[in-house]
Amino acid sequence: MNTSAQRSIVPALPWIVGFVLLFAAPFVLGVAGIRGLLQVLVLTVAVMSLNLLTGFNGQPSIGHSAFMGLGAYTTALAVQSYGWSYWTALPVAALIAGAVGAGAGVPALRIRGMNLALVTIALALVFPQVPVRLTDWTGGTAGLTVDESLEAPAALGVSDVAWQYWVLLLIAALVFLLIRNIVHGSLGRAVIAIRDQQVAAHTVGINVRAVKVGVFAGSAAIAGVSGWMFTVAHQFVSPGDFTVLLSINLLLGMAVGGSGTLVGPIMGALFLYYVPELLPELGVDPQLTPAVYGVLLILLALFLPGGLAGGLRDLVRRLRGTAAKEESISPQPTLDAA
Amino acid sequence: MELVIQRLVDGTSNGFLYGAVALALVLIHRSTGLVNFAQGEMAMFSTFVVWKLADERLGFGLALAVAISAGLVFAFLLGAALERTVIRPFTGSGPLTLLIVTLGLYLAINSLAGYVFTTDTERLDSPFPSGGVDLGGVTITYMELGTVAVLLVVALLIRQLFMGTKLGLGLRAAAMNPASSRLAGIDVGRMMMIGWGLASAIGALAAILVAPVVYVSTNMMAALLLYGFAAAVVGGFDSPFGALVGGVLVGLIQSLAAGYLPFIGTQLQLATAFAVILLVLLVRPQGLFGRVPVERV
Repeated sequence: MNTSAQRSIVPALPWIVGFVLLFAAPFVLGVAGIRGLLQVLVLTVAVMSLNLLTGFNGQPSIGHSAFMGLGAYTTALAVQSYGWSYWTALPVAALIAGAVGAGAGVPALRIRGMNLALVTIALALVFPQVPVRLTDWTGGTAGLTVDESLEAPAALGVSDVAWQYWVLLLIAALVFLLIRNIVHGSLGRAVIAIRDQQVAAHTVGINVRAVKVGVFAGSAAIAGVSGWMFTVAHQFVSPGDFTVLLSINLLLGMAVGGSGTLVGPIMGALFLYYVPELLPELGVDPQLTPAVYGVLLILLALFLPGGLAGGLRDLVRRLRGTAAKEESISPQPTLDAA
Repeated sequence: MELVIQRLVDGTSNGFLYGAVALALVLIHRSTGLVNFAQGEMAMFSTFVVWKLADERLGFGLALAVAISAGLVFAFLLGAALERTVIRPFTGSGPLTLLIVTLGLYLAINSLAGYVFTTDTERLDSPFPSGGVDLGGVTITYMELGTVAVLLVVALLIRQLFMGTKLGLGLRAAAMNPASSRLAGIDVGRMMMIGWGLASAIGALAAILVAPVVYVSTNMMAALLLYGFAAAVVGGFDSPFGALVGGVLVGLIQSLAAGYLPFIGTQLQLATAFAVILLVLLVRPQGLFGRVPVERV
């Protein structure tokens, strides 16, 4: 993958075209279509954050719904109760989620594999109880509506929804570039080395502790940003939005798209948003959507462990006839046994 | 003084339920080496079967004893079938794959239960009479007494099964060293199925016992599962005895924390389970009775 071609602009062309097309979407799609894309962008960033931690670094997390919820609640409270603007709330949402993530990352140094999954699922199960406990402040189970929306600058003369879309699109693109640059740099090699063989990574001089805590904090901060995006898109938060089911859905999105790949989360987010829309039209009771998800998760793990991105990569390689020669990057993150 | 004792009594009785869920988790962890995140949902589904058989309005109105027995048999078959069809193909997979598979089961069973039965909250009668024994200001309900008694008997039976029968020997051998067991003529696959079936039935029993309190619904097991995790972590994921001790400890901690820490109140009781899991894993990752794993590079 690390050929000199990467430095030329040609491989980036599809990305640039795609970004321009997405940028033009508000001029083509109606409001409903744009609102759908807003959800996709929120999910994309959330799955990217999980993928950074679990897919690239091999630290499983079922707690990302909690980090996302922290970001969303921070934003909603800051804007609604304290009169901040969305823009000042953004770094605070990322910082708070990141700080809690760092707090969770320190024990993760000792707690690995399955045990880390236990700690993070506990976090995800406890989080929805916190706003309920603090009902006076957060509105409890009824949720919290944010009256103010992220408004477009008057000078541009565009609708708020279109503006929100562009803002979220830009943030998603920035997060993508950030993760791409991390993964392709020396830091990324350290992150992946820790996933594949922690002891060996340590032996070659990688500061395993610092990298793991840093990745945990960074991943949680990005999840906090996706929480901010959630509040921008919905202007409403409630404990029911951030249950453990969200975490499982994010894991599903990661597995569908391909864990430990860059494009995987985008495909995963598209899947998570559009499949529930499509299933009723195929005659599946909407109530059964999670059942379809669950069965799919199991089938994917069995037949397509690399997800869509991994499957596509294999297909492209096979068509080129280089499958046998090229050394394939392990599509399946491995974990140290707990 | 009475209040303290009352809290200890309630905590112990809840603790036995947590211990039962932990026992189910431990049995599966010992036999297939994975943490079964779908344990609670399997138990929930089986409890719905009991409800369907016993309910007079929406179900078949069978006697409760019949319904519970049938539910436990169903749970055993469900566990065995899931092991054979879903878990077996992943033998030898990494922990992340197994995690994703059990989470997939969680989603699928949860949503199927809502579809097959109902997404409403339903009542299931307790097999024990209402009321209780009054001991100088401290009330022990018959339900609490019955729960503890039933689970103690089950724990002893399980112990007897594992330590005193040939089947138990096979189960232990298959869990400890599948390759050698196979050479010794033990049908390891069948042992795994039986292990899963037993675990599923024990989890279902805990759910059926707790159902009169938390009612029957698709998310009835969320809290119980987390307390079960906490109990299993305290006891060490390898020790059935530790699971029960861990369950009682977690029950006591929860009951006392909810009573004496004002911030926790009723809503944040789950946070005690989180704190217990985190603390134990940080200080003594193998739990009270677990083995220290040897890491091979």
